[in-house]
Amino acid sequence: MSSAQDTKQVLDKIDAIRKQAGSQFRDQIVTSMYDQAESITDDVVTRSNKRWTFDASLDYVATHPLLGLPFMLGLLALTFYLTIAGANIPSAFLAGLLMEQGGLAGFFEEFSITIPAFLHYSVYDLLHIATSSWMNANLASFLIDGIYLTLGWVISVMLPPMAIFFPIFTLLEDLGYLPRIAFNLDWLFQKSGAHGKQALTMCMGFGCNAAGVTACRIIDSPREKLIAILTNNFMICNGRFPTIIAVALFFSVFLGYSDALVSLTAASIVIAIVLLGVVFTFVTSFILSKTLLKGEASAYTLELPPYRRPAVLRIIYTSLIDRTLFILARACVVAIPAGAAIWIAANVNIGNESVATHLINFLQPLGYLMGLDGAILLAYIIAIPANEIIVPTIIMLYIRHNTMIEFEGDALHKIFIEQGHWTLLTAISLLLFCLLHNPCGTTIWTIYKETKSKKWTIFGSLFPVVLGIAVCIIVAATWRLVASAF
Amino acid sequence: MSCSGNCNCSHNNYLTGGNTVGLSIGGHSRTIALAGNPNTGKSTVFNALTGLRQHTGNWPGKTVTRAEGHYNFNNFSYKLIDLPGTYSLLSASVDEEIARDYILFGQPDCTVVVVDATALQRNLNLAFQVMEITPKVVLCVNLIDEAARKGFDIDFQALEDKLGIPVVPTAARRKQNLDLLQEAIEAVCTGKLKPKPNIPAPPPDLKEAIDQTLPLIESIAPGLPSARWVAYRLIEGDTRIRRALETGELQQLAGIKLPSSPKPTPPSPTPDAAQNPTDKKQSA
Amino acid sequence: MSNTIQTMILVAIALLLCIAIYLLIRREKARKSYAQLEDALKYLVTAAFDQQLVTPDTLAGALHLSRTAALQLIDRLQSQSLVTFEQNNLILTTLGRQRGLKLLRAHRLIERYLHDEANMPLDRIHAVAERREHNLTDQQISDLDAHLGYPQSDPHGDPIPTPQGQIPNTPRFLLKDWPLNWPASIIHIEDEPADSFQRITKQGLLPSSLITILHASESTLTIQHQDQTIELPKTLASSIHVHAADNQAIQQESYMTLAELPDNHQARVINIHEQCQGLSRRRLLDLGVTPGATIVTELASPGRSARAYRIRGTLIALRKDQASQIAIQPIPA
Ligand SMILES: Nc1nc2c(ncn2[C@@H]2O[C@H](COP(=O)(O)OP(=O)(O)OP(=O)(O)O)[C@@H](O)[C@H]2O)c(=O)[nH]1
Ligand SMILES: [Mg+2]
Repeated sequence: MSSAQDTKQVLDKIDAIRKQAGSQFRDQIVTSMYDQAESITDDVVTRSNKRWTFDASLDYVATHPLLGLPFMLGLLALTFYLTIAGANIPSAFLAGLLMEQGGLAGFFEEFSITIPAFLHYSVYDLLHIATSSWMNANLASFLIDGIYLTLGWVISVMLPPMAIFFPIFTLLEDLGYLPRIAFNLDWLFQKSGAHGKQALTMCMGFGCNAAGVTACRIIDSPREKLIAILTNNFMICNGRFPTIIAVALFFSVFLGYSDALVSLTAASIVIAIVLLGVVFTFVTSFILSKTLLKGEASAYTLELPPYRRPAVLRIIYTSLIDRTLFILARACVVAIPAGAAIWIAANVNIGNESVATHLINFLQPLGYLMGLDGAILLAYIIAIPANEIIVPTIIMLYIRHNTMIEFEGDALHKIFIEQGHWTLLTAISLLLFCLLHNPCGTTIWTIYKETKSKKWTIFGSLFPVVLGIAVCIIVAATWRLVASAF
Repeated sequence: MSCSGNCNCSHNNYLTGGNTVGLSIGGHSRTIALAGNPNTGKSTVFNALTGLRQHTGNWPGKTVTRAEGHYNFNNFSYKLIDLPGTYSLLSASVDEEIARDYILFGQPDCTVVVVDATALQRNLNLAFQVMEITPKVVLCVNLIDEAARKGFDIDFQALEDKLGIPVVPTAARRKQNLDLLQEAIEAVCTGKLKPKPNIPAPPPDLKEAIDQTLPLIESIAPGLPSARWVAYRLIEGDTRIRRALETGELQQLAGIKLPSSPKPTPPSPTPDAAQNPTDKKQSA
Repeated sequence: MSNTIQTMILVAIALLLCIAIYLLIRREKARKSYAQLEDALKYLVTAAFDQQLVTPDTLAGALHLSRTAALQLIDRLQSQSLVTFEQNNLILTTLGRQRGLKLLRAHRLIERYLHDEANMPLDRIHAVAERREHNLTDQQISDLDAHLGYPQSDPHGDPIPTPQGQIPNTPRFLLKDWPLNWPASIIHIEDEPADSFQRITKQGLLPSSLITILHASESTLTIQHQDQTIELPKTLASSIHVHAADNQAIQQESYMTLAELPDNHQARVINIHEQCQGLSRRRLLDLGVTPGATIVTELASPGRSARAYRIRGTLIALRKDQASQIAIQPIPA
């Protein structure tokens, strides 16, 4: 008799024992282990009379049935205000340094400082000067106006907000606040048939949707895990934040607010969009729970860890090095080919129009219906690999005929209005579409890895963009109807 | 940051196949697994020892995949594995399986159970389960700075005596006592220190079932170090363990020579398949 | 120029869509006819268990088929030698019985899974299991069995056939035949017709509920369940099976649950209810909710859907329905 059959027989005997052991087996083993653990800790651990009340007092506010939610919103508002108000100046500085004609002159003028004339060059100017004598003009334009410029926009638009947002967010994470958010929002998740820990995966999605989707592993019920994965895209990842912030700033400048109010308005707009994303998450979860993924909210256990003092210096260091620079690197890797593609599309002609113009004209009707335009839609398509480059791509598409713009003061604002002919409707639609569109390439791949289902991956990729198009069309139509009535 | 930010993406599907047992333990590198309840500071210990930057955060479930790193100590190279936090090794949910499979099938030279000094009672439950699987365990009582702040006073010597395994109090974030931890790991790896885990006896009601099962396991896997744990799992009906015994994977890991297995299981006419004509009908 | 390209792209997309839809329909048809065959076998197995005879007409009624469709189906069953005819009655062959039992086993295990692990409501699991039962391999079924801890019965209380094809037969009685004032445990509620199942469960009556019949009239039974009295039409009572309640169940009923413990109070755990099985039971055990452990209620979430409890030195949030599965004894302050 072979040993394999031997083994099989023995295992069958064990099976017979199993049937006699009864259903309380697990209960008894765990109980015996806990009893032992209890008796050991009773012997080795003593607690001094010192009362530790910090956790309890903070939790009193942070999870208070009435105060808990306002407290949470307040924290969110503060985070965004700091991010936007703080990012303004470094953004302008980087744009001046890297791209504007006349270098930092414009930036310092704002503060009534004049810098010597020999410093009136940005890196962009210098590159042109350095290459003009020996490089083929077309090649130089390809490298500088195409690739370098896209990179420059990515850096100046993305770096500052992220460098501020991440440390603040990590501070809250290290303090132990995230599980409290999940606890506070639990009733909403329960009503929408979702898992309470979905709040945690949403928080991760704030950083990056791909990370958010992977984090869904902490949800052990398969139905709710799928819901969490499919709705994670409604959380604005850091790749989309710069777009939202840029458009929100445009919005408040457009409304003509004074400087002091601009950051405040922009922060409110960002919060509104974030909250709208949360609303969409709940509504979608609810609808999924009632249709495709029917079921009730399942039982779950959420540990609320004790608050721990955040290690502030380490946080600043790691969020800068790990997250900010890492994302920037990723964005740059995508921005280089994208910049090249845009330049080629803008400079290669079919008939007497460039390829880019053909594409933009093709997309224009849909863009118009949605309150956007063809260039913005094209930018979204180009940016599927990484959402980070949406704003830079839009800019590059607008200025494709004329890269040598006199940037001064609020360059972005100028481009949007003068080249893109933006209106308030454009800004609103862009904000909405930025919230509601397909996940980036990495996220789609992660959804596939986690669900191992082509069907759900396709659903998760298409559903948000279809929703986005529908919402934008409805909003644009309503807006135009109301506008024409006045 | 996402996925590609952590170094772990490429490894996370380890052990999906049946036969990926593992890691050839090359002559010069020792493998150390970091296990423990969620949020006890495993990733922080990992970062402090390897100098890598696994993400950490104060909430349970931050790490969901396996990560690897290296460090050197006394001219020896150690491979450190950061595992997802788990409340138990008995439950068999996905994250727990990653941890359980690694401790059992990855055959680390030493498993460090990182526990939270402020919630020792809950954490010891998992430590016992790891001690059931392998005697090569070091208990790292982390977060002693927090415990001191909250007025906990722990007698580590008494704890060590009661558990029968080395106990090292640490504060990983301040890198406090990590050298002691490395020494304890080395001692267990080299065999200089032979832990004698003191595990709770099975509850009286189940003693009979276990006593019947143990000799049966002994007959197919003589000298298996984790026999009692395997008995628990078999009586609870863990198919993964059952299959590992059937294929001889478990025996192989424990270095047990199977009596005689000239060829692998013959594929076709086993008595089992003959009793199940439904099978053939189905596939036809 | 761009116009012609646009039209061509649109036409191509439309064509692709048509092809995809056609393929889907074909696959669906094949799946349906296979499922129908298996459903017939399953029905025949349950009928045999209940010692009922099946004619082509009863089969047609049970599977909601026309008579001709039913006859065609029976032809197919016969040609695969799964059933034979005896007079006008359909009799399963050994082969047919085995396949039917396998399917019944898969069906009830899936129901168990959906209820315990996926937390689907009781009245929905039957329909979902109907769809999923057809494409499981033997290996998958036995893995599922092991994963669920070898359950004896499905969530409606129906016994699950063993891998060897035996159906355990426990003594059970119809509720309408049960004596007055004698505590009984519900062991089974017939899941079809779905409507009466829903009407019963809406009253809070579930498998393993403890009940006592207080009064019986011509058409209704008056039943005590927990602290409410329920008027149950006798027609419904005939789809409920009961057996005598054991002492433990009677005792259990008298304990308070964790959900009822006021804020900032302490209690000792008695046990976790029998109804709480699967993943959620394992989780509670892992976190230290074992008999004798002390629990303190600490925080209540907005909306009070969940509360955080201090268990073994850690703070754990549980939803209300979970807390109501834990029997406790309050410790006076
Ligand atoms: N004060 C203090 N905090 C610590 C110490 N070790 C870890 N922490 C903090 O505890 C939190 C959890 O640490 P992690 O390393 O992420 O825990 P983990 O065990 O990997 O958690 P999971 O991946 O969720 O299982 C982090 O916020 C750490 O900064 C310590 O020794 N002292
Ligand atoms: Mg970790």
